[in-house]
Parts: sequence; structure tokens; C-alpha cells
Amino acid sequence: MKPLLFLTGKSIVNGVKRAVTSPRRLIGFLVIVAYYAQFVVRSVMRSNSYGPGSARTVGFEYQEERVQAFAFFLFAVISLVLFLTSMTPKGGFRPADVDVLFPTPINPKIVLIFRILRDSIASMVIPIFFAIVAGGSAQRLLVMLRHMPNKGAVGQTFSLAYILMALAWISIGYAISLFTNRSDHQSEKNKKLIDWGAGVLITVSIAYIAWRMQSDLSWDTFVELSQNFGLRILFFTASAAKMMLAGAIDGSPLSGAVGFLTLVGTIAIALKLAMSQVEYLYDQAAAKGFKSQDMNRLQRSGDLYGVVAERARQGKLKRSRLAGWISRQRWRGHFAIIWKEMLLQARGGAAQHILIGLLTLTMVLLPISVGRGEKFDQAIGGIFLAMLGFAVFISANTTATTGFIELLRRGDFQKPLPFSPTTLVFWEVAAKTIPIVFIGLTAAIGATILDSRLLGVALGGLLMAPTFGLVLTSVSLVIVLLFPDIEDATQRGFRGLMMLLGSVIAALPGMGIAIGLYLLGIHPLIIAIPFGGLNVVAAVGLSFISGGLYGSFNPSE
Amino acid sequence: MLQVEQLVKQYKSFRAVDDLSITIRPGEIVGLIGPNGAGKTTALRCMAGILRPTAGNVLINGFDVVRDQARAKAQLAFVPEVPSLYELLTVEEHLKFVAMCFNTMDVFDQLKETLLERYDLTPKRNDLVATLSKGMRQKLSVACALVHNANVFLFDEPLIGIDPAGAKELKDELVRSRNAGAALLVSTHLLDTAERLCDRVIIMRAGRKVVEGTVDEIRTQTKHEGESLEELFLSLTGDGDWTMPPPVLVEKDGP
Repeated sequence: MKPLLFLTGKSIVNGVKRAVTSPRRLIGFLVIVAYYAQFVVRSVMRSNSYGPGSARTVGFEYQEERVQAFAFFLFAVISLVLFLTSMTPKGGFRPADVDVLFPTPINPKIVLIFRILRDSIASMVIPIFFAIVAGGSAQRLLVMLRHMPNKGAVGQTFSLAYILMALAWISIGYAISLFTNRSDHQSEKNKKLIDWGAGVLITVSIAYIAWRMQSDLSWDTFVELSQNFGLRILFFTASAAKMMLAGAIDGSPLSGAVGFLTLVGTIAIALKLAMSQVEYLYDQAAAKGFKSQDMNRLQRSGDLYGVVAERARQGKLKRSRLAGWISRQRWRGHFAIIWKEMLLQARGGAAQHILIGLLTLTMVLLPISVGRGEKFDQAIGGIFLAMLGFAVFISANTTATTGFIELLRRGDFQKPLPFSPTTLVFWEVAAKTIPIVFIGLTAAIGATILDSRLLGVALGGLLMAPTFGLVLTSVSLVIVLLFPDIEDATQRGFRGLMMLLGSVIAALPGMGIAIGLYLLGIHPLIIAIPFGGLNVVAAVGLSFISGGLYGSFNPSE
Repeated sequence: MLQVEQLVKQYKSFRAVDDLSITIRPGEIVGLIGPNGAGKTTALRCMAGILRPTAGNVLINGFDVVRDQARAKAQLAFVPEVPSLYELLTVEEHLKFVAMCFNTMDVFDQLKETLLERYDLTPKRNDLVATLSKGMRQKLSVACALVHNANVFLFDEPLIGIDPAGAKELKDELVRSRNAGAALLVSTHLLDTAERLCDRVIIMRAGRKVVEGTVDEIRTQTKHEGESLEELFLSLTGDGDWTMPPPVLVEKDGP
């Protein structure tokens, strides 16, 4: 265990040291720490400003059955989340573990126990954060429950029950993972069986709960469902956790002990099952473990094309007719950059663009369908344009982040192309706005079909969307080039915040003019001209900045 | 001594290693060569106890690498092809971690200086692994393999990415280890190195051992007299259907 503690401790300490070694990393680190710290500080200040007398003015009578039912369903939801996370290959191993740790004589059982403990501690981080942030509100809720016995013990018992439940599901996860992720056909069949079985059981249960609640939406049904034998068996860890909590509230040691022992017994059995399969731990990590990890890492770093490439490696990428058609085109010069981007978007980003398209339609059409009346209202047109702008922001931000990470990764390939850095980045930016044209088109067609009086506004929006996307994408590239460390989590978070700020600043002049002119009653088709002009000027200016940054960008730094 | 007996590694319907038997005696360097996808890395990973063999046994000085892992691995060192190292440890901490795992901290301080010096890592000792070049990582990986008293070495393409001075130092290290009585299995694509450095070579194709022996023995057995190892390799691993007659060439050592 000592070498593993040494490895973990040193990695954390060196990671923090590394995060503050350069001014750029330090700024990112401090901003992210401050960002999360402000939630905690605000929560503490709220708790301090809360007076004990106010709870007595408003309150609810404590009803044991309702509170217990609520506790059961809360634990059931938590156990469902823990169950779903337990179905992925376990271990959190890195390639370095395979090459360095696995060939050493350290007993794999020690490695397994260490992983389970580490995962259990990691599973506490988010709940602890929420407990700090939302703890005050929960405390107030408890105070408001009049005549509830043993209020003081509830928090501690809830925490203990959560810890045991998390440990139980992490142990179960390892036992299942070691059983279903071996390199043979039988394991694959077992995995399918368990996945389908669990999926069917959960779907049926949720459908049953929804059906009962829909038939009779009342506290009685809620309480009755929490006492349903089938649900209590299915969510057995939630039942045990609820029994622990009920024991603490009622002062009933038997109920608490049964719940506690059920969870401890579950942990013991799951650990025993996991330990009995420990010989498969290294094999699984070396042969299969990285597939999901690689995917998670790529998703975390926002590397869309990396995700697509990984899916292609796993044989999960389907052929696309559109990509095939684009692939057959022959474009020259700068247009090759547009061609490359269209091909990558068609091959990798189609699902994402369809999702954003659907989101845009919902965002644009919902307020129009609710707000439109007999007479055409200018406000509806304004809402359409605002919603379209928001959709463009989402699309530009997503495409830019993922696409520009690709630009950084492929620096060694793209920089030698016969273009100046400014030209290269400008065309990269222009290429990234192509999906935005389709977003604008989708919104315009949808709005016009819904209400033909919106045709003028829709056409205006259609013209404005690409240039708005252009300026947003340009500013995103500047931010990505300023904070290019794609692997560093703090810099990633900081980059997101900076993109938001940069987008607001860069889009402000154009938006200001557009809003002003629209309020003056100018037609959106005319507004699109100064709006577009300002955005293109801003985009060109930003391209000069990013061209300079890209020219001096060194991927090895 | 390394004994591999009828090793099989199967991934669902794909058999990566098929009935591979190898014996390497103390004081012997054996080259493992084969085209890409021949199963060399998978075989080495099975021997290192990283992958679980579907069938067969791997014995390190008589200890089974699956059933008696701790004792088997204590005498084994593995250098992977593209070493993945712990990025957030410094060079010195990395060596220390491996020494802790192998429980050789009593000699670590003395050995560490020698290894850092030998592999030009002294100036980088306090640098994070994340900042090392590919070649320096490879050198650190080799240094990690030497930080404990192994007498069975598995090298997967150890010379790739190392500068000429480092490569010479590594080849000298292999010879030193052989002379000290270690058994070494070296997977490589560098056929001239294999011919000069190895006492015997094993050629693999599609997970199976095609032929084994000294280069001269292979020439005689395959009736390719006068050919270089490169020509032999190409003719034996090409599309031809020549396969080694197993009873003649597979060496069977008693336990």
C-alpha cells in the first residue's frame, strides 16, 4: 500500500505545483478556485444571516411516513446513479499503471482495495461540495419540520448511510466489472444479460412509479409506493439506508441496525466477489479499460474529433453519404480548409449539429407559439432574433472549442501548409461558421412555417447568424490560443469562463447597434448590413491577433 | 530462466498468441522478431503478468506468473515499446516508486545515482516526467527496469527513439546483464541488431512461432543458406505458406 500512497500523494502535490508554475496556469488555477470558493462563502454567509426565530414562523408538521418515503426515494435516486456509474469498466487505470505498476510484484488485491477506497473517497467530493453549498437550506428544511424527533442525528446518519451506499455500489461495480469485462465471448454475453436485465427492471419500475403518480397524485400514493415490496427489493440499498435514517429519527436501534448490517453485508459480499476475480484486474485494464477511459478523457477535454476518431477505432462510426459526397469534391487553395472542415463536421459533428438544430427549433418556436397573437407583435420578432442569437452562441461555442482543439493538436501538420498564420486561422474560423448557416436556415424555415408574418425577421436573422457566429468563433480561437493547455483541467475551466467574457465583449458593438435599430423599428434585413459589417471587421481584427498567437504557438510547450 | 509453455491469448474470436513455447536460459539473449501484428507485444505482456493468458504457463525461474505473481515478478523486468510513465512524478520519484514496489529501497540510493548517470538523467532528476522527450522517457523506462535485481528481462522494442549513444549504452547493458547470468527476451524490428546481439532468434507470424534458433540454424533448417536475417525474415513472414516443422525446432527443457 505504501508505494501506492506515495504515487498518489506525489502526483497530487506535483500536480498542484505544476498548476502554479507559469503565470498563465496560475491565473487559471486561482480563477477556478475562487469560482468554487465563492459558492461556499456565499452559503456560509447565508447560514450565518439566518436567525433561529424565522423557522418557527413558517413550518410544516412532521409526518413520519412522508419523511421516510421522501428519504427512500432520495436514496433510490442516489443508488440508481451509483448503479449506473458502476456498470462501466472499473479501475480508473492509466497506461502508466499497465507499463509500470502491473509488472511489479505488488499484490493485485492491494491494488484493488486501494482503488475501491480511492473511488469511494472520490465519490464523496461532489456530495461534500453540495452539502456545504446546500447544507444551510437542508438545515432550514429540518428546522421547519415541527415536532420531528432527533433532528440532530439526521445529518450524521444520512452521511453515514450515503458513505456505506457508495462503498457498496463501488464494490458491486468492481465485482460486476471484473465479471463482465473479460476478453472472452461469455463475458460479453454476461454483460449484455446484466445490462438488459437491469435496464428492463429500472424502466419498468420508473414506468410503474410514473403511472401510479399520474393516476393519483397524492402523498398517500407517494408513501404507498415507498412501501411497495418490489421497489424495496429492487432498491435494496436505498431501503437499508432509509431504515438507518428511520432508526435515527425514531430512536429505534433495531431498524437502524438492520439497515446498517444490510449495507455492511452487501459491501462484504461484493468485496469478496471482487477479490475472487482479482486475477482479471490487470488483464481487463490492459486490454479493455482504456476504451471508456480514453473516451471520457476526450469528452472531458472537449475533443470532439478525438471522440469520433476513437469511435472509428472501435468500429462504431457509420458511413455518411454527406461525408462521402464532400469527400469527392475538389476545391483549391484556401477552400481546401473549408472542404476539410465540412468533411470533419459531416463525419464527426453531424449528431451534435442535429441536436443543436432541434434545440434551436425548440428555443425559437416555443416562445413564438406561446406569445403570438392576432396582430403581429414586434416583440415576437425580437424574441425570435434573441433566441436565434443564443442558439448561434451555443453552436459557435461548441464547434469552436472542439474544432480549435483539433487545430492545436494538428499544428505540426497544418502550420507547414502554404498559408500565412493569419490567413490560415481566418479560413479556419470561416469554416467553423458553416454549421451556423444551417442553424439560421432551420430557425428561419421553422419560424416562417409557424407564422408567415415572421418571414422578414427570419430572413434578417438568416443573414445575421453567420456573421454573429464568425465573431464569436474568432474570439473563441483567441481564447483557445491564449490558454492552449487542453489537458489541464483548471485551464479548461478558466478557458470556458474567458470565452463567455470574450464573446460578450466582442459581440457587444454589433448587438448594441442591432438592438438599437430594431427598437427604432428598422427592418431586420437592413439591420443585418451594419451588424454584419461590424462583426466581419471584428472577426478580421481578431484573426490578426490569433494569427500572431498561432504563428508563435509551440505544441511542445 | 524464462519458460513459456503453449501460451495462448485470445480476445473473443481473435487469437493474438497461439501455442507459443519459448525457453530462455540464464546468460542468453533471445530476439523476438515478427511483422507488425504478429503478437509479440501481447506475448511479452502475458509474460510480464499484465495480460492473463487464455491458456498455457509462463514461469520465471520456476514461479508461475499467474499463480505465484509476487515471486515471479520480483525477478522480472519489463520495458514496454512506448513507455507510459507517471507524468506527475519527477524522474527520481519515478525510480523511487519502482524501487518501493520491488522492495529494494535498501540499495536504491546507491543504484539511483549510477542509473541516473548512465542514462544521462542526472540533470533531469527533478523534472516531471511530463516534460521529458520521447527518448528520455525510454531511458527512464530502461533505468526503472534496472532498479531492482531482476534476472529475467523482457524488452519490447527498446532501441526505438533512443539516440545513438543511448542505444549503445543499452546494448552494452543487455550484454552486461547476459554476462551476469540474466535471461533476456528482446522484441525488435532492427534485424541487424538482432543478428549481432542475440544468441538465438524467434520469428513470429500471426501469433505463432514460425522458427527458432541461431541465425545459422535457421538458414540450415529452412534451406535458405547464405541469406541475411533480413532476407530470411521476409521469406518466412511473407505470404508463403512455409511453416516450421514443430518437432524439429521447438526446444523442450525439463522442469
